[in-house]
Amino acid sequence: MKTYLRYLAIVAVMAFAGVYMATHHDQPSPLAKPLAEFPTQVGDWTMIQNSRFDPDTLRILRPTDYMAKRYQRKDGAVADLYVGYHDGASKAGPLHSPRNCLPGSGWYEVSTEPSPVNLASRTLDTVTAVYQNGADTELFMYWFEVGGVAITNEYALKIQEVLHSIRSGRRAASFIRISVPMPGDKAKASELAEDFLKTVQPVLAQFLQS
Amino acid sequence: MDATLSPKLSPPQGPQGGSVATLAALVRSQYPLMLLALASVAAAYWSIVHGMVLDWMNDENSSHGFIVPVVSAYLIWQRRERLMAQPAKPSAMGLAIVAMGAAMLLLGWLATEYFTMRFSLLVVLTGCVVYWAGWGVLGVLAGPMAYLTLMIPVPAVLYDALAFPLKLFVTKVSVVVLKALGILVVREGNIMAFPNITLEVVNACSGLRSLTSLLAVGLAYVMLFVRPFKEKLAIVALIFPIALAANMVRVIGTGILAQHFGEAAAEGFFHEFAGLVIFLTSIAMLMASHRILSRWFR
Repeated sequence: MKTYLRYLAIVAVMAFAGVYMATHHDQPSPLAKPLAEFPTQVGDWTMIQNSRFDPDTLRILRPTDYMAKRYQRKDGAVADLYVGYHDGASKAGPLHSPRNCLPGSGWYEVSTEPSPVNLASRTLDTVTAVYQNGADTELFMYWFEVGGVAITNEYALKIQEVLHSIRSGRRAASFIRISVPMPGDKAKASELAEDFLKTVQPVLAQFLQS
Repeated sequence: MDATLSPKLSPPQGPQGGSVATLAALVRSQYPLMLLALASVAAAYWSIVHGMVLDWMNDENSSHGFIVPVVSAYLIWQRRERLMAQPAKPSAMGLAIVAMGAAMLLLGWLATEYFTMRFSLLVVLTGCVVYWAGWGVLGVLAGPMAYLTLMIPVPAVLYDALAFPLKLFVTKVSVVVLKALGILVVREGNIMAFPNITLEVVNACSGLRSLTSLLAVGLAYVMLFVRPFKEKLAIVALIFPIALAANMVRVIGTGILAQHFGEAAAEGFFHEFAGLVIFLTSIAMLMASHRILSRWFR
């Protein structure tokens, strides 16, 4: 074998990798509607607070679009809704799983379990997790969405993103998180979160389809 | 005699068909091509290494990244004579390793998984060494190259999985010691409540940050200054308990001081300064244990 081929082979492999990374651009797929247009009244729930994140948080999170709103039900119960949409283009950051983010900011994971929710037409796979921070306990219900598929596991999310990117040149992904305060019993909090989820999910689906 | 059967007609050959030379001879005759190929590696990895250097600058948990390549280069320099005298026996396996590294790079890139992308650089470099110069040369370079792994910031998933149990452990032991010292304190999770102040043991105090930095500095110390293998192992094994102990001293010290000086003792400059002192103390403890061990093993 000609010795110089040994070096040119490396150049060829590296050039292939470099060119692939430089030319494989994921298409930024816009949302059907900007999240800012998300209604303030959904079913029995009325928006009572609309938060914007500070620049430091946004610099780390880098969502393409997001919303963090608090809703109140007629009977006074409150629930928070966070939706982060990452369009997969270079400026957007990766999705942050609460599994990594919450413990990093002082939240202690009490429990995490899969919780399928029966919607009108299908079953939605979500995760129910209880986290504690000092004296506060919150119940979270969350899931990820890539190309219309709901995902509950961080590793499956990565695999789905890679497949989606190779197949369709898109990497857009959303993270949807509902949280309710859990002063006492978990069943009550989880029932409340589920009621809120069932109310907002059909509306949200119209925003997230692209 | 039949000429075709005569071994004298062909020159002495190595296993690959090329003559066996030392690495020094190989580098001398082929360095322009080697540099060209390494430049292509550098070009492919430019943005990935750039991102990693930004992490070293911006993330306190990874700032030791700057010293790792310097130490690695120095370790290679120390071994230069043994390295250059190694016979160069290129192995085709190297190309497979490079291809595997490139595949890791692309998968990591598609998944935006930084540790995989960064680690793949070390796989590619390992493959190049094997492909160009063979396993013998890799054997000499293995230590300094494996050490380079420490320059890659620990993935968040792993970091958080380790940080919480460590935090709880450090808090538990510190509270036991504080109580034994006659200080009133109640623990809840990683929160310590004193009569006048509540302190939270955060990630930085868990020993994990100083553990990764101390691991980088400690391993460098071991590779540079510790000779017998038994001593090397013993000192590496001590890095973890030393980092934990030093952080417990820090948490206990902060607890005692916070009693007298209030929150100022646990925040801002003092907290940062205490971190530095604790880190230097850990290194001193490491060096002291080396002293003691080398007497003991003799």
